[in-house]
Parts: sequence; structure tokens; C-alpha cells
Amino acid sequence: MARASRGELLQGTLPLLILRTLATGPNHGFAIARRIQQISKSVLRVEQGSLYPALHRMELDGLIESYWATTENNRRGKYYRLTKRGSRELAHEAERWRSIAGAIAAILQEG
Amino acid sequence: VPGWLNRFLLRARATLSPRHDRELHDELELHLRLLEEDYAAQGLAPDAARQRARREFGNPATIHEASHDLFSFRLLEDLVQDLRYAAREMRRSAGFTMVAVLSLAIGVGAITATFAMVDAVMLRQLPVREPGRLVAFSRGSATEWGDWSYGAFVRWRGGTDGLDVAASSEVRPIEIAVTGGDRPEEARVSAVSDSYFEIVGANLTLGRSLAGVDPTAPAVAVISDAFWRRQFGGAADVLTKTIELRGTQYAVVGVARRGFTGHSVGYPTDVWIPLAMQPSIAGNQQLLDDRPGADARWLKVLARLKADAVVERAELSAQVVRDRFLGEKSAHLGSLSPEVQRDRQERVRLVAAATGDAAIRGRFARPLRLLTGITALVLLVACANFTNLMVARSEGRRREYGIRLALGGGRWRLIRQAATECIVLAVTAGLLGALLATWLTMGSLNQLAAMILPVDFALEMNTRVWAFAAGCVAVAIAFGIWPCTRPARASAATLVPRSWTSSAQSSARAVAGRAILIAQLTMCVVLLIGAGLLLRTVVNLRSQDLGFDRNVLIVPVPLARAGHSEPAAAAIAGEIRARVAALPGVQAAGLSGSALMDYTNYWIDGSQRLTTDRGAAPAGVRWTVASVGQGFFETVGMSLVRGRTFDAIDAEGSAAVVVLNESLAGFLFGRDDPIGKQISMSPRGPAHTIVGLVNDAHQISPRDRGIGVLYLPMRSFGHVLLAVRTEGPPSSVAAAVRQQIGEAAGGVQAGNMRTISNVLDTAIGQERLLSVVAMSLAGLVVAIGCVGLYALLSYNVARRSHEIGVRFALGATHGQIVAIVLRDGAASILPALALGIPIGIAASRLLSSQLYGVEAGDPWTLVSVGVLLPLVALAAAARPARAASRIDPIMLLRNE
Repeated sequence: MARASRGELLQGTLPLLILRTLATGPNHGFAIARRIQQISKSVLRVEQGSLYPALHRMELDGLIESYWATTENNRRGKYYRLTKRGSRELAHEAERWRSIAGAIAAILQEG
Repeated sequence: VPGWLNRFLLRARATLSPRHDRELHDELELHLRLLEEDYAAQGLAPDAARQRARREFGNPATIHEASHDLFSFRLLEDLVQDLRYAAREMRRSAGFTMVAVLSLAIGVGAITATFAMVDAVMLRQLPVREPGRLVAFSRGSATEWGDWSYGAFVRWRGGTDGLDVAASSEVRPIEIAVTGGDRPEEARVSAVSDSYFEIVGANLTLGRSLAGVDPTAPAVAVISDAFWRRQFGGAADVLTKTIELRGTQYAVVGVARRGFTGHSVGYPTDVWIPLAMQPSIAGNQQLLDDRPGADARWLKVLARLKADAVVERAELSAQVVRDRFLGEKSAHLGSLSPEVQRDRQERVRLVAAATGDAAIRGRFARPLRLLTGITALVLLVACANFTNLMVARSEGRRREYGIRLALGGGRWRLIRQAATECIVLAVTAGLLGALLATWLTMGSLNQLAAMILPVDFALEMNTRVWAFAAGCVAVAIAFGIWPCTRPARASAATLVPRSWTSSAQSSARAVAGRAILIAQLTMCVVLLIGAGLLLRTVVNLRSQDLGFDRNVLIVPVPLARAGHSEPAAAAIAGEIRARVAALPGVQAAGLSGSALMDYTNYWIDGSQRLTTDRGAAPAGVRWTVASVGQGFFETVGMSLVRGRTFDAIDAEGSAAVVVLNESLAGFLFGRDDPIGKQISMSPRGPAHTIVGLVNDAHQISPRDRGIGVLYLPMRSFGHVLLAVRTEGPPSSVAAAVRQQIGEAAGGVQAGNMRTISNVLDTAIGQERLLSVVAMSLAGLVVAIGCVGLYALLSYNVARRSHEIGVRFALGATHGQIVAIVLRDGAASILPALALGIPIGIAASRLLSSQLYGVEAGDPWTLVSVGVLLPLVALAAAARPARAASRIDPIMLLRNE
């Protein structure tokens, strides 16, 4: 049960986390995955590969765009960066999450 | 960039560029590598680091697949795959596929072409502005446009509220020479009132319309787009050209918009000239006389409702104008004159004119209905055939589907694949069918229709016709899609039988296939019966005793058209007859004022009471009047039963005499001698003396038997038929006759010369057309049915090869094995006959008005069908039977 709920949470939040990560600057998939793990302090354990379909879907939706560039240790990697629509989406989603989180926190405190 | 476009571009790039897959691979590979290096840096052995990285990353193949799907047009890719699969399957069983597709194509093509005809005759609206606001003036009829005098038109144009009124003469073919044009040709010419184009709402592509034509120089013409292209090659300088009509030069002032060919369905107009020019075309100055006494009715009157007008008010207004005109007329002619009496009875009606003037609609309505019925049957048979093909094909694939389902293949995907195949076949057939229909509409159909009337329907494959063809394809798909997706819908367990022969399902399948085949053959029987009856009808009509000889030449002499007045025409007609009779090789010549075997020229009355010396005749006798001149009966080979025929004195009209045919005499006088008795055509009408009695002949139509005919001496010579009896073949004197007519009548062109036999062929054109079409379609349907039978028998032989082998092994003879196959065939044919014959009898009752000399349940036809079909079926069974008799039990057992 706990695992399942964590999975669902992940489903919904992964795009948001990607957007948040890319808000600090363009990066490639491995770096994004590591950053998410750092931020979430391993609460979100991911099969890292599943990051990619999510990235690609977001690219198709026009939230991020990709380009090829050289990584810090001199390899070719596919980099992603936010588009304008992506920034808007991030702002909007972040606001939504905050309000939901606030509401849930308020309910939990009352209880 | 909008979201959908972004998606589309990315997917298109991914689909088209071969780099995309590699990039995807590289991207995942980089991640794995970095992860691996991370663990190596943490001090893990290289192998362990790789394993750990793999575990953490997940299965790259799955991720690759998931991403690939995102970046592809999944449905499209599947579709392409399905299409490829379908094409491969079609190639693999090319013969069967071809038969199914071709038969379906013919079915779709035939009915679509028929619909194109229905569309042209019944449905198509004139290509004009707001056709719904066009109305035509009729004489009380709800559909038929009336013929009106110039006087009536002028008064309506001047004084009808809510209407803009235009008029047009009939469309007639006239030889036209074009200055600078390619060649003289017979073009269809119509004279129209000056604002005709504006009122009808037809635009011009070039030049101006006939509105505001200078009355002092009215010899101008507007030509149709088709004529422009034909004669002037579509050149823009056409407006500087002239065309010559009956010796007058007309300046071309305009070209009508493409597609507009006037308002007469079946008679597309090439050239429009002002009404003022009609007298010079027709050679009759009386036509434009608008005084109340002038009564030449030669105009169709049509009108456009003004913006705020309603048709009822306009109709009332038109009636008021008409009544006022009749008032003038009766002041002029006397209120008791027959013209005024007649006109008083008629009521003006405004009828919808959106679909044009289709005087021919009545002639074509019934044949078109029948054609639609027949072609619908053909389509149905083709569809049944298609169903059978789909059943056979999908059943052959049960095993494959079963395995695919068992291995986790998507059921929806399987259904889609099966459906794709069915749709591809049906659409291919539909396209071929449309091609066939296009070809038919481009000429052959007009030629077929010309068996009834020489018309030009300007058939076209418009949107409505295409939509109809698409509908037919949808029907075909509906027939095919259920059987072809059935295995894909079944459960995997039932799909993979242990053995091909032991399956109970396979016999159930065979039963379904047979049921469809029986239905198909039943329709063959029905169609064969109908076609047989129509064929017998034509044979009967052709071979019957007409009451006159077939080899007599009939020549129309249109004296009035050349402008000869009545007394002069009578003299010329007499002269022509004398000259032709004197020609070598001519036995006799006679004149007639009534067309032979063309019922549209007769008014057959059953209501008006003939009155004789004995008082009014009993009701119920159908009779008509024909006018004939001297020598007519002798020339056409009718026989005088009693009394005498007309002589020179009768022709002068001094005595009121009449000749009856036997039917009428028998009805009126029984066995008594009618010679010398008096007869009048209405209770108080003038009496005529009966001077002769002739045999019954098919004067009115080839179909009418026992109609009473009163032959009166002809008085009007404007349109004369000259009958010529020759010693040798009629064609041998044709040229000489034509020359004599030309000389005697001063430039009159003799019309189309035909023997009575030709006249008969034209008169029964509708029947000939239907029997030709029905016969060829029946042949086709039988061919389709036989292919179906052949396929079923072959399938059954293959299915039962094991059983047959065992029978051989147990000592069965070849004859016994062949008998098995023949019994199998009989099991389809006999039920089809048993079902088809009663259905055919019932269905051909619908035909009964088309039949002649043969009944719906005609035993000869039934017996012929009952013998013919099994014979053809036997031919279809021959190969499967031979295949069965060659089965080798040893080979079979070795294969087990």
C-alpha cells in the first residue's frame, strides 16, 4: 500500500520535479536524475530509466526542448532546457501544489 | 509554435530521420555509463558496478520502446503495417481476391452509373442562382411544363405580381456553320426572351447576355461553354466571330458559364438566340403574333419569384392575367369557340422548376426504377460474394489469430488488422467501380438511353454520385467486416483446434458459407427469371403480327417547318406522293398524318362516348383517332375487310367519312355490317359515314392490342409521313425518294428514313434496353454465383480429403467420389431454385406492366432457368469433382 501510494505520487510529481530542476539551468538526463534524488533525499526512489519517457513526453508537449552538447567530462549528451511554456507551467503547477500541500497541512494540524 | 504542431514536427522528424533511434540509444547509454562510473568511483568492481547501474536504471529496451512509441505516429505505423499485410494477403490468393474485388466493382459501378442517370433525370438542380425560386407555368399539371402562345407570355411578363417572367422555345437541332470554326455540326438551338439569362440566374463567362439586344439587329447568339470549346477551341476572340443558322449570320455576343446548358433535361442547348429570331428559324412569321386570336403554342414560360413574393400570390396573379387574356380572346373569337372553351377549362399553375423541364422524366421513370432494382440485386450478390470471401479468408487464419492471442497479442490490434483488410478490398473495389461508372457515364449510358429517346443527359460524376458510390462501399464493408473480424473476436482457446478435420466448428463454418451461397444463387435465379421474361417480351413484340408489313419505308416530310402554308402543303404532299409512286422499284406510296407506333402522338380516350346510329356506345371502349391519306392502307400492307378505303374525293373533304378497324367495329356493331352507318365522336358532334373496315394494326404502339381506331382522311399536311412500298430492299430507293421530296417541296429536307421494322425497334427501345441490361447483368451475377459455388466445392473437397481418401481405400469408385461432389453442389443449387422460383414469380409481378405476351409465372422461362442454372453449376463443379477423384489415399496417409 505504501509503495503503491509512493508510486502514484511519483507519477504526478515527476514532471514538476523535472521542471523545477531545469529552472536552475539546462542539463542532461543523468544530472537531472541525480538532482531529483538529492532534493527528494531519496524519499523518491526512482527506476532512473523511467525518467526518459517523462522527459520525452514533456518535450513533445513543448514544456522543454533539447539540444546536443558536450558534457563536463567531454562526452556528447542530450541537454534539456525549459521553454517559455515550461516556465509558465512550472509557476502554475508549483502554485497548485503549494495550495494543495497547504490545505492538507491545515487539515492534518486540525486533526 | 502551437502544441500540436510541435508534436507533429518532432514526430515527423523522429519518423523520417534515421538518427532519432540512435540518439535515443546514445542518450540512455550515456546515463548508464555515468551511473556505472559513479559506482566504480565508489569502489565497486567493474562488473558489480555495471550490474548495479543496470538494476538502478531499469530495462533500457523497455524504456527505449516506450520513448519510441511517444515519438511515432503509432496509429499510422500500425495502419501502414496493416495495409502491407493486406496487400500481401491479397497477392497470396490473387485469383479469389480478384473475383471478389471485380464483382464488387461491377456491382458498385453498375448501380452508381444508374444513380448518375437518376441524378441527371430526377435530382440534379439547374446550375443557376437560387434554383429553388424558379417556377414554370403549367396547364394544371403538377409536373409538366405547359406550352404557351407568345400572346400569353407577353401578358404575363407585363402584369404578373411577384414574378420576373422569361420564355424559351423548344430546343431543336439545327445545322450550324461557324465562320472560322472547324466544321459544320448539328447544334441544339433555343430561342429565348431577352432577359432569360438574368431571370434563370445563369452567369456568363464571356461577353454579355441577350438582355438589351438592339431590336434592329437581333441576329446575335450566346453559346454554351461546351460549344465554345468544341467549335472555337475555347479561344477568347470568339466574341468577334459569327455563326450561320439557316442562312442568317449571328454575332456571338456571349459564352454561358460552364455547366449551364439551358433548362431542358436531356436536351442540352448549345446556342441561344433572341425570341425575335425564331420566325426566321422556324419559317413562320405567325409565331410572334401576340393578338388574342393567334394560338401557336410554342413557348415554355418560366419565372423567378421576386425577393418578397410567395408562390401562391403569384399564381393567383398569373391566373388573373390569364383570365383577362381569355376575355380578349372570347371577344375576338366568340365565347363559344372551341379554343376559348378549351382554354377556360385550364388552370394556370406554377410548378417548381429547380430541376429543369424534364418532359422526358415520365419516359424514363419506370426503366430507371427497374434498372435500380436490378443493379441493387447485382450489388447484393457481389456483397454476398464478398462476405463469403471474408469468411473463407478469416477462417483460414483462425490458427494464426489463436496463437497471437495466446502469446499476448492485442485483440483490438487483431480486429483492426482484419478490418483494415476488408476495408482495403472494399475501397479498392469501390474505386474500380467508380472508374467503371465514370466510363459508363462518358458515353455508353447515353447510347443505351438513346434506345428509348435520342437524348443527352450530360451525365456527370458529381459529389452526390460520389457520395452514393461511397455509400455502396460502406454497404460492402458492412457485409465483410463482421465475418472477417470474427476469429479476432473469439477466445484463443476455441481458435486452435486440435485437428483441422475433427473440429465441430469447421462444419458450422461450412454451413454458414453454404447459406450465403444459397442466398447468392437464389438472387441469380430471381434475376434470371426477370431477365428471361424481359427477353421473351422483346421477342414477342418483335415477332408479333403488326397488322402491316415491316419492309415499308417511312419518311417524315416536315412541310410546315419549311414555311409552307396549309393549302400549299396539301398540294405539295400530293405531288410528292405521285412522284415517288412513279419511281422505278416503287410499288406504292401513301401518306399519313399520324405517327406509327408512337403512343405519345395519340390521345387514347376511354371516357368520351362514341355515338352511332344505335345511340351512345357502352362505356369502356378505348379508342383513338388517326388521320391517313390516300393509298396509306394499301402501301403499309393493311387489309381491307369490307367497304372501301379513302379516295381522292375524301381527301378534298367534301364528305365526312371514316374507316374503322375491326376491333372498334366489332365493339360497336357486333356481327352487323357497319358500312354506311353513322358515327360521331361525341354525343352532339358531327356525324361521319363509315365507308370501310380494316384489320387491326399496331397503329398506336407495338403493345396496344384491340384499341379502337377511327381513321379519318387527313386534312393537315404540315407534318406528313410518306410510306413507300418497294419491290427490292427499301434502301435501294431511299436516295431517289429523298431527291423527289427535295424537288417537289422546294428545299424541304426529308427526315430520318426508316423501315417500319426500324420504327418498331425504336418504339420498343425501352424494352430492348431493359432486356439487354437485365440479360448482361444476370449473366454476370450467374458468373459470380458460379465462382462462389466453385470455391465452396473446392474448399469442401480440401476439407474432406481425408474422408475421401479413406473411402477410396475402402474401395469406392471414382464415380462414387464424383457423385459426392455433385451432391454437394446440388445441395446449394436445389434449395436456391426452390427459393428463387417463388421469389422470382412474386418479384416479376412488379414487372408485369413491362411484359408483353408473357405472364409473370411463365412456365417456359421457369423451365429454362431451372435447366440452365444446374447446367452452368455443373460446369463449376467439374474441377472440384476431378480434384476429388484424383485424391491418392496412399499420399494422404503418408502425410498424416
